[in-house]
Amino acid sequence: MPSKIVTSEKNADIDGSAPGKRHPANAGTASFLYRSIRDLLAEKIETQRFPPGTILKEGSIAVQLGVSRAPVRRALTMLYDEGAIRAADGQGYIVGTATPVPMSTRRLHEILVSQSDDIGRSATWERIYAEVSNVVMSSMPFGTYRIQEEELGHYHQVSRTVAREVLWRLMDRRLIEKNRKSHWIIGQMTASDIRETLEMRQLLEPRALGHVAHSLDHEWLGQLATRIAEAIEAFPEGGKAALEDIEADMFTTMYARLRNARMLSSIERNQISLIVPRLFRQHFPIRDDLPAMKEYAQIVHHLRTGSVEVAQVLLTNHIVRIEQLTLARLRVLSELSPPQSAPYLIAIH
Amino acid sequence: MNTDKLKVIGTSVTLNEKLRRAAARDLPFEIEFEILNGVDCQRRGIMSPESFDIYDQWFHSLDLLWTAGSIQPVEVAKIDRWNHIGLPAGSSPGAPGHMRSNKAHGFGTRPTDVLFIQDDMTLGSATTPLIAMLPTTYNADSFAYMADAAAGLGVEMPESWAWLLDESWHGKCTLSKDPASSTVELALAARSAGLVDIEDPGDLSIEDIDALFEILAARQRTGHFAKLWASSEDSIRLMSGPSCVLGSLWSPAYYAIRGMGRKLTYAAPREGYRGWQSGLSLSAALPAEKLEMAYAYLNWWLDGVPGAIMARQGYYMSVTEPVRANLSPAEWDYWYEGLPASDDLPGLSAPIVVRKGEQREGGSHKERVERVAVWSTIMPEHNYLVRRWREFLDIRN
Repeated sequence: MPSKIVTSEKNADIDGSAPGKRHPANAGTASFLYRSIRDLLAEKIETQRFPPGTILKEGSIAVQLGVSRAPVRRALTMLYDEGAIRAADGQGYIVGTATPVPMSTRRLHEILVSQSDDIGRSATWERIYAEVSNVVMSSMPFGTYRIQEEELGHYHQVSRTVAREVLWRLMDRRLIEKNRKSHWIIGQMTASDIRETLEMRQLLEPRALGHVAHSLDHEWLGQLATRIAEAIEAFPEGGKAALEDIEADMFTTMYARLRNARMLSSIERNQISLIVPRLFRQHFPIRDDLPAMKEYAQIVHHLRTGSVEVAQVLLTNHIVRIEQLTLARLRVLSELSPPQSAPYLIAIH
Repeated sequence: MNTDKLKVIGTSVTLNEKLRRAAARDLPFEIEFEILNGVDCQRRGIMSPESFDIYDQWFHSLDLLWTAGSIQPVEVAKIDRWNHIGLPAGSSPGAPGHMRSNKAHGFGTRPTDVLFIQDDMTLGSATTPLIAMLPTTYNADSFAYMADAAAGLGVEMPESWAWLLDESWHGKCTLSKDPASSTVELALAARSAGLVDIEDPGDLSIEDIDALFEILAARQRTGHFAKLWASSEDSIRLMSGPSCVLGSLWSPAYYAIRGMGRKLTYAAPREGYRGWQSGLSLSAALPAEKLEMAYAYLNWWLDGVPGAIMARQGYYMSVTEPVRANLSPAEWDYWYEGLPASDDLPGLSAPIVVRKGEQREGGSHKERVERVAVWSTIMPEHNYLVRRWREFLDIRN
């Protein structure tokens, strides 16, 4: 199952332009990829390996890096927004303000691939990140675990360096921590973690929604509204999958174009409350999710009609309301046995 | 599922032999009783609603069953004696008089806190026509001990929950395996013994839980606790044998051991009792064609006969008048009024469990319930707590 997640997530990324169906656990991966590419390109620009005037094209960069076009497109958009590159009419982008200078495929290959292993390494950690992050999140309600770095590497047939890179990324998202003995620890998710992160979500997400509201794709919002309406209509027969796709869009894809990277990573770090319903729904009915669906419908409606402030208030209310239910569901998870543990995890308690 | 037979799950203390026979005699349909220990029954209720029609268990477990979608609402309009129901702590449905403040803090789960199904589908105390569980029997619990042994050990009075952790009783102490009751008791014990600084024994923080389990694990490793019990029968075996002289105990077990002629004292701890309320819920999977039988069974529970059976093991009932009519005056006076027994009194397992002249510890029904310090509860940090609890149990396994 985990490998399936990786595949589907890759596919989503290849197919998907910005907003599309995406699993919440995988969203971080996708965003990491475009950010890695952005960082790589920025570094090449800064060190003048891409001198001013270099023409950068989405397609050829994607081919050289062996990734899909979507994350490259997004990386280029970011650099454009930052003012590092400018648009060339239908010809991709141009570095700086100098006169355009085409770059040969061979030179591009040298710069992007031969002179750098950054993206190669990133692509490797990228390959297993979603799976490891899924294992970590699914373990959180069940106890405290230690992750063995070397075993993680063995299990995924990657070097210890790559395993460590994955773990650092997980720590960056506050999914794991390092203890005094420098062991990687998955701490047990507590009710107070849920309360604290929901309080942060109340502060961050309505604000983020305000930032991205005007750049949201109307067609995408329309499709989302339709899917929510269908899920409400069919409730509860639509099942948990439709619901989870909608939540991934509401809470991940929605903020994907947020320019404030600090805010975006804070949001990602504080979304552990979304893990609880996902695990809950694997075993128990979705009866209590209908009010949330109706709230999502209202939020999307107001985004579509431009009443952003109303959408923000509704989002705040939703996050406030969901606390009690999330905590109650976490208590119900007490009846579940821990999932079969990955070989690189050791239960501490 | 068979549509002409009602399937009830519960523990041996409510679904005891006397009650099962009375139900078979009084009700015009077949009932299958499945007896489980407390923890297993709660788990079954949460995980497998299709395996039962009626769930006979603790009110505090409603938090889990209702959230898990395992039970369906009970319509109060179909409960004949609904208007006669009185809940402990003066918190009768709709009545404003609670024993202390109305704030649900510091009490654990009071029965009224989770009784009514609110418009937003949560459980709460505001009156609505739908309830999650029909309140039946309840009690104020503590622990029991061999008074001779206590004197021999030089244990100082008054009785205190702290005794559960007192080294004097090393190796001779037992507890229930149910974390919802035991952790409340142990939190009271550790606080009273001055071992931890706990603000609310009914709502332990992560820090409280860690501190408490450090103490418990140390005692468990050195063998302070003898075996823990899962069912009333287990506790009877433990407390009537040589291995335990002190233990948290339900009153049916206490009176059963008394009926064996053992001298055992039920404590009225200075910190107060641990309260609990039981009741009956309808499975979410209960088919409409069995609803009539289910309500007949629920109504029968309030008719007086079950209440009298419960009284003879020390339990109170939510509707008392019909219980009184089914008890002798001597029984009523001892069990409910806390008066000295005017005669020898029968129990469920023995012809005499109370001797003439004896008086119930803690006094009358009203006095005992007013001295409930904390109700058994599913705390906010229940998931964390339960996993620490299982770890604690595993230390000696």
